[in-house]
Amino acid sequence: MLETIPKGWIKNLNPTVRLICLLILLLTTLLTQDPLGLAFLLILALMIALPYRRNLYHFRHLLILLFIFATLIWPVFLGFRPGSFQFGLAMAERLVSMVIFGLIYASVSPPEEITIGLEGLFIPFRVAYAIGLAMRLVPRLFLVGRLVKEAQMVRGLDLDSGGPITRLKKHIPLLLPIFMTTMRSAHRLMIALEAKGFGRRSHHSYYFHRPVGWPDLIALILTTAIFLLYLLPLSVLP
Amino acid sequence: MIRIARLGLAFGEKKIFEDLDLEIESGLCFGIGGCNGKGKTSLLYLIKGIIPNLIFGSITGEITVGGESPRDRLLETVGIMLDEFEEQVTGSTVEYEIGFPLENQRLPGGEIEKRINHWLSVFGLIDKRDQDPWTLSGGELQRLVLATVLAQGAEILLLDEPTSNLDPKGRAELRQLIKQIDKTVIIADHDPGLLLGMDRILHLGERPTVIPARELEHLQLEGIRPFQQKRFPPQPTSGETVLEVRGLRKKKGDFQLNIDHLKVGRGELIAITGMNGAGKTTLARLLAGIDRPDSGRVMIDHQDGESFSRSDRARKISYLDQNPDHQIFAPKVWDEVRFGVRNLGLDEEFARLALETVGLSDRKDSDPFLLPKGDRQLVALASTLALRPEIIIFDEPTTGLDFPGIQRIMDLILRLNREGHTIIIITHALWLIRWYIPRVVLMASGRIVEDGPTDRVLSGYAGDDSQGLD
Repeated sequence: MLETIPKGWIKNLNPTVRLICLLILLLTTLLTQDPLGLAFLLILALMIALPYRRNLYHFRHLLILLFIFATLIWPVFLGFRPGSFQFGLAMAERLVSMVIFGLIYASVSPPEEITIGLEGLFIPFRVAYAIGLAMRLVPRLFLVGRLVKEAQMVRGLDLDSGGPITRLKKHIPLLLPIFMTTMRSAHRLMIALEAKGFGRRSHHSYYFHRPVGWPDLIALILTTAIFLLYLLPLSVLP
Repeated sequence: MIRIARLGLAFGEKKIFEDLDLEIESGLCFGIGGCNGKGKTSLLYLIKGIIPNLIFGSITGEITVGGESPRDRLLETVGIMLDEFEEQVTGSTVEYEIGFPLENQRLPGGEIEKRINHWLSVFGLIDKRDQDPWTLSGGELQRLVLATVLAQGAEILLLDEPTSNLDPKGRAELRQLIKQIDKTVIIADHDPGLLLGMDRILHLGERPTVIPARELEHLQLEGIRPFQQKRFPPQPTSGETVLEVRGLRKKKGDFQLNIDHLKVGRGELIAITGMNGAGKTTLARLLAGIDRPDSGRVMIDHQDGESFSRSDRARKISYLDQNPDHQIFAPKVWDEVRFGVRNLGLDEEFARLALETVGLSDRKDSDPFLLPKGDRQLVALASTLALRPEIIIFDEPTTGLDFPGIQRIMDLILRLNREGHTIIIITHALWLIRWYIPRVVLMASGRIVEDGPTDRVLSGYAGDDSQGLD
């Protein structure tokens, strides 16, 4: 799973500024359909991701598959005519860039900082905390899924044989135990959170506090500049 | 001071307890014991205010904690550590975990930092400050939960089954910690060793009774394991080898399992024990074929385990997880038990007999999710038995069960063993091994350090408690 990287200049940004930068970069990828322009964004994403390459490596299969699939699927839908392959390539670059930007953000943002970041965007604390907590619980959900799968495998359930439909059917016995275990956990979590005073008062204080500084302003200026570059109708890029 | 007068609790039609009178003075260590379902956890929830504020229940009588009523709201002066406490942890680092409830109390950042530093020092976790709580050991995680509760300024500490997942060392540490905390501590647990260290005990039986803890040594109370002399079971018998491990290696992160050689005879009953993190479950999963080794072999009936198909291996060796809810999915007990049988194309009569063996024939149409945990465990066991596996591995089969529940499952395991099944039990309940199991394999740091008759192996085991408290 994703490893949280405790150091680095992106990590040192104010959580809200970090989130705004992410949103600007994601929006930027939507501004063009030009393969060259999107290739530049993909290279930028890869360069920023260099310090977090271990996490990138974990997701290498997904990223490669996503790139190949997106490149090939569009010509199939649009028909094999001039420009359809370029469009597919552009979509692949866009998707992979977005995933990499997201991975960089998730690599440096523990759930508590995601919550603070969202609160800075005027998302109510309860909602922001729920989103941060959901991110925290994703690995837990995978663990439950694995345990349930193993419990059925030792009863002779062979999930890997048969065609796609047969294999899909074989997964049905996994759904209810995962659901029930998750529901029980969610119930206990609710008790635990209430016992920790969550939401008892309308406001809370901040132990983690990183004020906005020069690095935040520079990051904002740079990402906004990239955004504007792509927004201009007569972009310098082809 | 906690005052309880003529307190009664019911969930719908089901009465949990009634007419409970109790006074717990400040600074006291108070234990609660009794069978499952008698209201130990519910009483803790009532003191904190979880019932009725988060879980609805019909309450009669009076309860006040330091003059406040927990019936109106959750009390901040009362801290609680839930059973399966790892699910209580939400912070991504040790520091954030302690800080979060303090933010909710709107304490200033400086005060939060002061409290974090103080409680991390008290519980010896200062160097774990930036660590992910889920990477801590069971004992460390428990200390973190306690630190989080105490940092909130709780004057009363409620601990629900704190020893259920702890090895002997962890249990000894917990007993030490409780002595160290200068607060009112109320513990609901089955472990007589822990209860003995309390000042007084409330026994929730047919009639709730309060007794001085030291009397526990001489009394036999329903739901609490009695103190008895160590009873070593008969010497193990060695027969034809059914399971053999040769040069098994498995690396998981920083942990390395190295098992050079292990032999299990047909029809043997053995325990694998050791501290948390010794590699017991890793070994069991390799034996059952859930995980694959990096190198080495697991021979079943003199054949390489890898040569069996998934279904053939399931009939040779089965692994029963400690949590039955990871397995159960069917709407009826009968459907659940015959699922594996139908999967492997076996005779449904096997399922009927398995259900009979575990004593649940009369509940075949029940919804398994509505059964108590002990019965759900039996459903999972019946599902396994229906496949007629030669070897059954039980991973911590007694966790969370009260004493009658443990006796019931162990009697069943002994019966299966007498009928010819080879049984391997993974456990850190040393008393259980002493009482029931003739051969024990002791593991430490991924290796087998001792293997032999229970009396010989456990007499020299550092994790064993000489007072028989485990």
